[in-house]
Amino acid sequence: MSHELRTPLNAIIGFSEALKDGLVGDISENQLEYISDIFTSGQHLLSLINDILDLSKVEAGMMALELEPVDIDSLLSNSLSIVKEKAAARNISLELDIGKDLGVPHLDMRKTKQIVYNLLSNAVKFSPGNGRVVLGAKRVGRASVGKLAGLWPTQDFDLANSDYQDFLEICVSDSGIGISVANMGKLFQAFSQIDTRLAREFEGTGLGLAMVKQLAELHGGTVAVASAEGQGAHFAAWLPLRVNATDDTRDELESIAGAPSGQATKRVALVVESDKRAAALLRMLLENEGFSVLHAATAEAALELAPKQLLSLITLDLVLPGMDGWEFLLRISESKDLARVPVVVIAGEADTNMALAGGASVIMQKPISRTHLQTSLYGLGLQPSEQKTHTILVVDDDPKAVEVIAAFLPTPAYAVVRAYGGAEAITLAQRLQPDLILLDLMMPRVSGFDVVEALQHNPATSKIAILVVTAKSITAMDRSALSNNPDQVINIVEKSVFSQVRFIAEVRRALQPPH
Amino acid sequence: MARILLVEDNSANTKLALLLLHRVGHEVQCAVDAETGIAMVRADKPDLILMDIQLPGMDGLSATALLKGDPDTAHIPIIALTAMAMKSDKDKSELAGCDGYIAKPLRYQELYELIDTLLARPNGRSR
Repeated sequence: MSHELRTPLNAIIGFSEALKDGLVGDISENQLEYISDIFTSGQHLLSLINDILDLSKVEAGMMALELEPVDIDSLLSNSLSIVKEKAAARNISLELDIGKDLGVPHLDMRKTKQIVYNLLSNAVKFSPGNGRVVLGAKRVGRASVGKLAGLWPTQDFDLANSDYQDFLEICVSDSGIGISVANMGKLFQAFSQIDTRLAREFEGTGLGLAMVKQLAELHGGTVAVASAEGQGAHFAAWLPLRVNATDDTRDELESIAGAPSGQATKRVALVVESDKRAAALLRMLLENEGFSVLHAATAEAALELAPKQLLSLITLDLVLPGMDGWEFLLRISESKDLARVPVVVIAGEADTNMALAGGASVIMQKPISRTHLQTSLYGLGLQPSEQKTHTILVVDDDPKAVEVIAAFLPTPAYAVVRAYGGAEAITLAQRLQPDLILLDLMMPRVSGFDVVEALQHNPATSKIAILVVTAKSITAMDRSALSNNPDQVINIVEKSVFSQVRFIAEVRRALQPPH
Repeated sequence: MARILLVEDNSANTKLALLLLHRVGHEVQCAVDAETGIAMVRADKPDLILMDIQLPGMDGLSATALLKGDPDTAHIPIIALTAMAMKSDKDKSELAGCDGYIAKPLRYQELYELIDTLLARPNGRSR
């Protein structure tokens, strides 16, 4: 969804910027003005879309809290420096007032920054020239949440029930235009910049405060505002002070570990690998084979994670920090449940025999290739399940025909690679080892017949299944020209009888592994 | 000036990237999906890859992980291009092995700077 909304804006913003900055050549002053308008409007629309997407994510319960210890002093001073330039332009003074007893609270850093930044940029925006904005932070008890000092009318919201007794109060005060009592209630709703006249004067998305409220509530806190028209405003957000977040972290770990078991059909693989790139590659390859993948960077973490899962496979890099792979092998061979799980050990050649003796089912060497992994999985009886993505090479000299076929093959079940000529097809087939080649016969220079011949002469490609898709009526002679290799499965579909249903059926049939 | 491979499925974005890259003299080849991109990288060994993350079929991060896992191509710097400006996307692209990250919309100053930085790096294996 987010991708679809933002993609058109890339072109709008990117091209208008290139035009306005003269990258494409000279433009007149009038043109410059209009193009600049397109550029700024594009950027405004992008920030709107980003805000809406964030907001809808929170509303849909899709935004999770990522708690970590936060240095609140530097978070607040960094936020101040973001608005410094705008404040200085209108000679607005910025002050920081931080309590001493805050400790190192566990907060979601990014979301807390968003809260502070939104409050600050509002305060600067609505302050008159030479005004004053104060950013304050202090520790308050639960009873003080929602209460703001002073005599101005206040709008607050209910605080959700929880055991939290201590809260971090982040308060931003300005000496700006203020808000009338009637309008205070609307402030925290999306798209309610309270006055259309103001909206024109103070550009914004009208989503900032709605976002602040949502993010504070997501933390288990709340917000409030106090203001008098013409005098200024205090905005505050309260976030629970979790000084020790271990309980939350543990819950999270459990929910991650527990997630895949909900899908009974998906097999789970545990990747024990300290190198994050190698882990990412294994994850991708295994997911491609229909596994859910859990990753542990150390043997210790793996031993903690493994018993919580019904594992179908463990991959183990012998080189690990802390406890090494050998000891890990030993430990799992002693466990009743884990001893039955096949272990693919990733090791150097020298360690092969030792690892097999230690309980490894298969040994693989880096770099891990897709083919090698597939062979190993077959060896272990772990054939790819239905969720596997099939790589299909579509070959036709007519690009339109290629697109028609590609449109018939839905993702993620099929990944389509396109080739627009016989020579290209041969190269791609060798490099990519696709699961199936959809081949046109009548192509200029290198024809489909030539492709079949070339593939059959190379042991690396002689077993790739081929489905001939042709407009030509196939003669008996053609048939024999195509089928002189019993290993290579070649089926034929004629374009004249083309329909998606028939076509997909043929593709599935061609993908069936030979028995 | 360098030989750059652009892997991007959206034609307007491709045109924009071509405009910006040609302007500073880079030679650019384009692939519309990860599979073709990977084949082209293996065949031509470009100096740098600009990799859109959301692609039809195989996604850009998987392609990056594949290229970085292959000793023949691991040294080629890869810049991830993504329309999603979330912190987790940046983390994910780092995890997959990307050397740089640009959140779209593509802004030319940022693009030029990152390309220059990565090309100026001693041209050896990144690890």
